[in-house]
Amino acid sequence: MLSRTFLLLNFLLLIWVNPAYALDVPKLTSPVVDLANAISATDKTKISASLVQFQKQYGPQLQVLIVPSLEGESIEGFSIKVVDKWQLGQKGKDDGVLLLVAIQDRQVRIEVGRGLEGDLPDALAGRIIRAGILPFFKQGQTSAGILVGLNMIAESIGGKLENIPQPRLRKTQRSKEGNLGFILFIIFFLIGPSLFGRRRRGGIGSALLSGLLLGGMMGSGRGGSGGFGGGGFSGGGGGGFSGGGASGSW
Amino acid sequence: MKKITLPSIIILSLFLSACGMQSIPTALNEVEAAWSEVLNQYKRRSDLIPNLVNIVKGSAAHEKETLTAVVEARAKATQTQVSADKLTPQTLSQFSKAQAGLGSALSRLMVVVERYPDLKANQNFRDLQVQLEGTENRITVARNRYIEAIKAFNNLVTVPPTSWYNALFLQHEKKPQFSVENEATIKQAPVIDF
Repeated sequence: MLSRTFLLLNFLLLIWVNPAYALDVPKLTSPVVDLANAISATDKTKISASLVQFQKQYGPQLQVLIVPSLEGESIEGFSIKVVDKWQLGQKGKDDGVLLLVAIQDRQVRIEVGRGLEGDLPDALAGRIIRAGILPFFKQGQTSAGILVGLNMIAESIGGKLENIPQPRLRKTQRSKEGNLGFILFIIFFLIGPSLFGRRRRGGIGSALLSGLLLGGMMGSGRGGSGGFGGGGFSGGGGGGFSGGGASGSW
Repeated sequence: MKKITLPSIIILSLFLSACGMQSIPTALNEVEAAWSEVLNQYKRRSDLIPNLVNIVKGSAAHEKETLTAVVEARAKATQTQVSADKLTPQTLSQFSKAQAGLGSALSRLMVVVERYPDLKANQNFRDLQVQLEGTENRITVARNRYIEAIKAFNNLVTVPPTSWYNALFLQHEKKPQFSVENEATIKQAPVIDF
């Protein structure tokens, strides 16, 4: 009798320990949830601080989620599951954006909250993915791609990310550094204005400036200043999503 | 006398709030909102089509047949509109069929378009393609939310104790649920001939 109970208990424990195959929504612990360890720890803290500060200054909540694999689920399906649970953005304003990256599936998605679909329509989200993020991901530069993507998302919703690390290249790819610096320059110098130029006042000027700055930073290959701006991360605020955004694969 | 009525009113109101007086109308409103969202997203798709057809026509004039099929399917889909209070299994299946016709005409067009490199390189076309994908995704999301809202509503009107209240006072029918768009083709088992 006792042994049977013991067996049953063991069995239950086994079920409990082995997670189910279906991909569960992870816990929302910070503005950058990186389950694939694709970003270095220092970058993660800096990006998190910058995103928290951005939310304080401008309102919209930007969130990054990096998963190793989607485990067979479609990126759109998983993405909507995540934002339904996390409820990024403020309730009523619905101003959350999720940047979701699935490393092994080589897929990326920008999921846009209902309230930001005007500022960041699907077509623009698609352009940010195609022109900003994918060129880096194709070279294995996950961190740089995410930084460029976040900067472009922030700019499209009328703000700017402060104290965010400059897109830096991993040491293994040093030989291609000049090449990538050039790509970055092209993105901000040529493509940037066509993305934002007509939309925001002074768009061309600021895009040009950021292009010059980023291009310059790339050459020197070093990150910017530290500066931990934000304190408490408060999680999701009840924002709603209805499937807006765009996906891409590399 | 007064001492009896006050607690009994409280008890009665508690009983009523637990039995569906509040929850059934709330769920009905949820259903209506979810259905409007479905209609809204389908309309969004149909609004994209004139632009899409124009841009494809410019580069791929040979694909007249496929283009006409899209335009005709769109006309049919816009004619078949169902408001939330007229949702029955028949009207819903008519609506689904018309929209599925448009969906398959569109996907045929997108397959054909793969043969035209100029078109694929065209920035406007790629934007439209992203918008179309986004809209299809929104439709999926809206349909799922409708399914959830219907499930909640149907549970309230069929499962006791709320169903008793419904049978006595409201007499709502169960609302129809979405089924798979191409039910007939899925039902038929694939024939493998060696």
